[in-house]
Amino acid sequence: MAIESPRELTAENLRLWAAAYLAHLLDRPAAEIDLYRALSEFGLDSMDAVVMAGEMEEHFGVEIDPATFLREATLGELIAELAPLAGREGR
Amino acid sequence: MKALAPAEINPLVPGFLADPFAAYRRLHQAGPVLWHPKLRLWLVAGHAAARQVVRNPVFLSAPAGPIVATLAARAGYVFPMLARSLGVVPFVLNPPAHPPVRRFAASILTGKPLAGYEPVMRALAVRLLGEARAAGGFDAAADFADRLPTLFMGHLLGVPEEEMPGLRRYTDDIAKLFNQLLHVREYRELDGRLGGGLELLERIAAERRRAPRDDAISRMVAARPEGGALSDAEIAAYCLMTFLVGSETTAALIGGAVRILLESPAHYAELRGERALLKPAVEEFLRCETPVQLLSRFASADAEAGGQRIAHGERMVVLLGAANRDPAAYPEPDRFDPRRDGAAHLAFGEAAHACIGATLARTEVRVALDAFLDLPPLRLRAPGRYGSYDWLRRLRQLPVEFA
Repeated sequence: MAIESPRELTAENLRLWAAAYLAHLLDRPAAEIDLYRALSEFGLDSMDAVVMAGEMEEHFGVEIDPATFLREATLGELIAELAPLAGREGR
Repeated sequence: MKALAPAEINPLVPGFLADPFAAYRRLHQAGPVLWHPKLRLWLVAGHAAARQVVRNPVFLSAPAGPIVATLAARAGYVFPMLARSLGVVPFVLNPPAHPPVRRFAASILTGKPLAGYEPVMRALAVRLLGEARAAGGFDAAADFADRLPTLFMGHLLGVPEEEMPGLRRYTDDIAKLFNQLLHVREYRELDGRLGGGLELLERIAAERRRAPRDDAISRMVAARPEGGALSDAEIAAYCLMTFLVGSETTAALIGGAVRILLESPAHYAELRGERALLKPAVEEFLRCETPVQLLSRFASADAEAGGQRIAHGERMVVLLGAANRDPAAYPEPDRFDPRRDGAAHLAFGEAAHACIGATLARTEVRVALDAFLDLPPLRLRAPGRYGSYDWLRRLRQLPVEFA
């Protein structure tokens, strides 16, 4: 699913994209997506994780391991890991 | 109540198989069959439970073809080469597709008596090790363990040796195809490379159709299985998958065996002197360094395994490498002991999906190690590096030097 949101790799854009993506996937309003919950708690299965990593890569032009989405990490922590790449690998 | 796996143990993360044994010990302490709440699947680590699961036809193989096709559709792609290839891999198929594919795949490996292959294996091993010896030191994984099975499989199929470098380029690192968590980007890249390999093999199949030789591709061209004669495209798919499955797993075992030998000088010296011990040692290498560490299953009905109730539809990951080091089946399971007796290992699986190349693999590994033991003593120059597969424990690098 293509998410219409800014593609520049910034913490804010990652947050916007992830909230919109998860809202669509889980069929819930984006405002209800708590980005500070562990990613594993969203209940994504391994296929969801692979697809989400692919979509995120295409959107932002960074490399993301699908296993990320099955870890204990929160989306906030993932964003903190990715944010330093901003301006380096971003499109 | 489901028995739970420690949440921090995740056999699906990259790198897990480089050193899974501490995690396996913790799983054994927790129970033979454990629910992993984060992965939402069962981990089967106990030896008896793993055997129970692989023998029970209620537990079906995870169908990689449809899974990859669904994933591709969700990501907005099609992977035609992956679909073609996975359709002829017996261990990702279930009835009714499974039995005829398995029979045909087995016929590829058994078309000629094994005794005819052993001298070929030996000549290849001696040649590769001769080159390595001339070079002073070598990489026991990249220069020997990897190359011998691919060259032998090339010989068995009838891929001319000058085509082998091309085929190896298309198939390098291709074992990741069976990872549980593979990136869409990697599937795309694999689909392209598989296409190259299939094209190469299809061309050889067309040549054999015009001028048959004494090789498996020619026998496949002539074969008339239940479904009728195979097209060159189908033959290419069988060849590519036989090549992949046969050589990746055998490479893993040869590399793992060499590492064990070089890490345990007493066994190394003993086996150099007493080759009769090699045959039981191969079984012990299979137990300790099980190439296929993980099988993926799902329950096609409510069932039971290792005292746990498995509900219809639930996924399971059978950790063969853990089962083969279950202290309930093997005292001091982490110790390599070629004189060990006791339960048979599960390295080749059992029942419907038992490895069809087991005899070939046992022979090839024994011949390879026999030639390796003929070399002057070697030692490790650096720790090995494992490929990042979640199902295959396979060294990619293992630098060694003459002691």
